[in-house]
Formats: sequence, C-alpha cells, structure tokens
Amino acid sequence: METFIKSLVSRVKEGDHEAFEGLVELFKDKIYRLCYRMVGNRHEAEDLAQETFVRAYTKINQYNGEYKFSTWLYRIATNLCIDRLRKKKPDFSLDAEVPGADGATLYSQVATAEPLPEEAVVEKEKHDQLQQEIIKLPEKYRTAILLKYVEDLSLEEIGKIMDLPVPTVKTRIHRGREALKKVFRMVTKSR
Amino acid sequence: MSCEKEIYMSLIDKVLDHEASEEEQYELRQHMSHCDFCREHFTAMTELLDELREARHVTAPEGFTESVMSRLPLSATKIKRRRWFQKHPVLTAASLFFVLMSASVLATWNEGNELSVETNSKHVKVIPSSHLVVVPKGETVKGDLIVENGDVRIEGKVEGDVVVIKGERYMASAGEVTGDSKEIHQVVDWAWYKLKHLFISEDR
Repeated sequence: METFIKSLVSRVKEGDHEAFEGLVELFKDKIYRLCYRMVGNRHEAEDLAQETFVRAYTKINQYNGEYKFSTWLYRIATNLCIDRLRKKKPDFSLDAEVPGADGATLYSQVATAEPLPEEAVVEKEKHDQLQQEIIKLPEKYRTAILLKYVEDLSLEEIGKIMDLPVPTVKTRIHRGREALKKVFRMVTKSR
Repeated sequence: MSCEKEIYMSLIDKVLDHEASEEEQYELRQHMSHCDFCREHFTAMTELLDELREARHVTAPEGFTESVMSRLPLSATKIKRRRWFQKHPVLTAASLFFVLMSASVLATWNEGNELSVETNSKHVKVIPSSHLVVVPKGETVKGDLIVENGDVRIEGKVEGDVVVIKGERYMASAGEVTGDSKEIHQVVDWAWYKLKHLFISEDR
C-alpha cells in the first residue's frame, strides 16, 4: 500500500491530475472524519477536508517523504481545523432575543425533531453528546484524542502530526480522555 | 491512600494503552475486585474509548472527490512553465513563432502530391500519370525549370537552374544544365529554398 501511495505521489509531482484523484479517494474518509470531529459541523468539515486536499496538491513538491503521506495530510488537516476554530466567532445563542420580535427567542424557531424509533434516538443522542463533548475539549487535547482513538494512529505518528515529543502526546491523550470521561459519565448516568 | 490511588490510576492508563504486562493486568483485576472506585473508573474509560472508536463510522459525503478535483488550481509544473514564459517574453515569442512556422511549413510539405512544373518554355513534356517531366532531346529550355512532386529527365539542354522538389533528376548523356541544379528531399532544405525564393522574388 505504501509503495502504491508513493507511486501516486510521484506521479502527481510530475503533473498527473488523475493520480491525485486516486489519493483523494484513498484518504477522503479519514480526512473528512477528522475534520468533522474537530469542528463538529458537517458542512464546515467538508469545506475543510476539501481545502486540505487542495493545499496538499499545491504543496505536493514540499512533501519529501520524510513522513508517511497520510501523516502529512493529517498535519495539513489539523492545522487548517485549528486555524478555523481560532478564527471562528462564537456561535449565537438560542437564548438571545431576536431583534424586533418582541422578546421572542430563537427557541421558537427551532423545528421539533422528527420522531424516530426510541433506540435510534438513544444511540444518536449518545453519539451527538460525545461529539459535543469532544468539541468542548481544548483543541490540543481534542486533536490528540481524535488522532489516537478515532484515527487509530500511533503515538509516534501523532507526535509528527502535532510537532510534539511522544511523552507530551501521551500526556495530552490521558488528560483529554480524563476530561471526556467526566462528562461522558454524566451523560450515560442521566439516561 | 492517595499515593496508592495514583499507582492504580497509572496502571489503568497502562492497561488502556495496551502497555501493561500480564502480571500488571492481573494485579489490576485483583485490585478492582475489591475497589469500586477503580473499577468504575476503568469501566467508564473503556466505555468512552469504545464510544470514540464508534466515531469512526463517518464517511465523506457523495461527490467529495469531484468537488476537490474541480477546486484544484493549474498543476504546479504548468504554473512554473507559465512563470518562465512571463520572465522571457522574447524567447517565448520566438519559440511560439518557430512552432507556428514549422507547423505550417510541415503542413505544406506534407500536403498535396500533385505534380507542378514552373518554366517559361513550351518545349517541356509533362507526363502527369508517371510524375515525370522530360526535357526532350534537341530542345533547349531557356530560363529556370522547377518541378515539384515529380522526376525530371533531361535529354536536351536547360539554360538556367533546375530544381527538383521531392523528386529525382536524371541526366541523359546528352543532357546539359548551364545553371545550378539541385534536388530537395528534406523539409529543412525545402523550407530554406522556399524562404530564399520568397525574398529573392520580392527583391526583383
């Protein structure tokens, strides 16, 4: 697999458009998933994941094979996500009054969720809850946790992606999951 | 107690990270059989990590690859080439001119296989079916004789130049050419000849 990826990369470097399509196909799910877990919004995740591939394409000559290609891609993706999170203005609150609406809040505008089979609701809620808790984590813990458990990468790889020594990565993963555990417990107990 | 708790916490981390030895795993199990706090912590953690792994089931939306491909800029090599062109406008113009010229020259060279004869004389015999032009014995052609896409057989006399383009020139023993005589087979010769011819005829 690695040799196949390498050959695709060198073809892209020679200006082969189609070879890049192959690389996108291979990594799109991983990159999209990481972006989604990082920003918690599908639309934004798609935009960020696409931007990741566009950047990779324009900077392909800077990729020197020092890391695995996937590591390099994850690096671009995490940096883009973190940049986006830092620039992002805080979301507007549903509690805020709508101007000129005589004290009505945005709650009145929220559609009720369609009824679903109860089990599905529970499953969905659990996932959404977890996603919401992931989003609340400070981004340094969030990145480490996602790369470790969702993307299943080794500590060494995460170190390369985040530009950190392995022991620091480990600390961040432990602290991140500790923080997640606290809220996750509350979520499961409240059910 | 807090010191012991620390030890078990790091042991739990080790187990969760799959770094614990058999003995360590056994030790933790022994401990958890009587310590509710650690057991609860361990269960919660395991559940959480399973839940996180569940988060893998997300795939890129449909049409993702197509969107990426449509967003790609021109390839890096194309951009480099374009920069080179911008830096060297004279060379670019020259090479462009050369490319276009050679294209049209080649097209003209390859096109048409029809026999064409250029001469002032009426004494030349033209046989189109066998792509042959004959200067008959005893006849004298005054001026140049230019034949394209055919052979020339000179049995008489030509008082001028003989040029054969894409053809052969045969001289009979009695044949005579007073001016230059040449055969042109190569496209470069031909182009050169055409070019010279163009300027010379303009000079006249």
